[in-house]
Amino acid sequence: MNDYLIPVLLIVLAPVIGGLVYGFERVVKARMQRRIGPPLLQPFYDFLKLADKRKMIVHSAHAFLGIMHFVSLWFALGVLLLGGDLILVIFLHLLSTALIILAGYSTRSVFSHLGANRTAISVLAYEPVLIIIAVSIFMITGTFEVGAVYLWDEPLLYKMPLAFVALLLILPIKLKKSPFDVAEAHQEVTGGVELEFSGLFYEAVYTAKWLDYVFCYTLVFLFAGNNILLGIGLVVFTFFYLNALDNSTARVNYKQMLRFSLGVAFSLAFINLLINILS
Amino acid sequence: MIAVACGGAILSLLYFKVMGLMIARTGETDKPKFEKTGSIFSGTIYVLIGLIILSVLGLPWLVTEYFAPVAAESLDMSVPVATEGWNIYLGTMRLPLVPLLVAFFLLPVTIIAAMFIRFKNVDRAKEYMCGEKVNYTFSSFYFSTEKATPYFYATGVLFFVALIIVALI
Repeated sequence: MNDYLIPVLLIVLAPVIGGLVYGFERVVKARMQRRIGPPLLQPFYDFLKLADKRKMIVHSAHAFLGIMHFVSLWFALGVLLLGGDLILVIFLHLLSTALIILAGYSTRSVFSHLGANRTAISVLAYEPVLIIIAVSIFMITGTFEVGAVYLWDEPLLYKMPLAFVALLLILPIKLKKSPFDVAEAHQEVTGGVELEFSGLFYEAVYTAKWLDYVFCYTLVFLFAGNNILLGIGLVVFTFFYLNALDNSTARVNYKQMLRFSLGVAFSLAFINLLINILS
Repeated sequence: MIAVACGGAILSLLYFKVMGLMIARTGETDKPKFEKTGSIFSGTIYVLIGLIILSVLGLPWLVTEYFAPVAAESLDMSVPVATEGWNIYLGTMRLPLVPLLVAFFLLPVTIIAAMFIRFKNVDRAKEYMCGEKVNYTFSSFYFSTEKATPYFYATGVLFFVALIIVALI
């Protein structure tokens, strides 16, 4: 019973935790730019404001796919936190991204289409790296069960340092952080796939971004095995690394992103996998 | 496995394009528009869908009784595959079937549901065009195969030649 209590609590509270992380991120980014920035709870104020807006949609299928993006992402996070199969988790996560891409394609909006195209390219950039990392974890632990990885005695970081670096390199793509924020690039495609959502329906897409934070930081936490302190350290390090990177770099184009991800991050993860196989 | 996974990721981009076209509609209409296709086309698709569903449901049997023996014979080594309950074991790797099947059907089910679900008490808005009058001249399905058509025959022949060579080897 107690084994499930913490994961279930984390699943239920995931949007709140993600919202707080996002709020804290905005404060940290503001401080890095010598601004005061918004209050910590600003994302929740935005949430309440959006709930009060007039409900407007382009068409029902588009709005429904946005909601299902949120639902399926929460489901993927649930499987991850409950210690399910890592391959299944990656697939479910891909499914949630597929739904938001299809939502983008379902409208006749140029910005939405460009955003959907770029999100699909982003998937191509980070998904192979995630799969290689999952296979590396399997080579070490002998299982894809995340539950077994949480209980692994030796932190995976020691045997998968290159894979961890690869994960750090693809996280900005996944979380749409500079220099790899091509999918939402506000100055170019005004938010991409998010653009045509509004009010309550945008709320689903907005909250899904918070869930993505929890999802990504949980993946980072996996590298610590059962060493909770190291896990927290890795998460904190990743948080500051992402924000420093986001604040200090300019956006690259999608070709450069793809070339970098498949050339550098994929290679690093693959070398780590080869080392794991040979050893 | 890695090659299949990475190839699948690349191929999925093409699926997105096709699915994107299938569900695309303007802000002026909120209902799916059904097209009638000839029985020869729809029949082919129904047979394909039937085969896919049968293959997915019969995966435990197919893997152990068909794919594993063929792979073992081709590679000239044993392929340790077994099924137990709702799990497939590839060596020490356990693949839970039920969640994988549920996940497999989730995408088409969600898209089909999206075609029919209608939200009430909502206002409709046209797509945002940044204040410009933009003529919509492109879509997600914008690649043309006309230039590549002459090479289809050669590619097909090459494919079968490669198959025969691999089979002979």
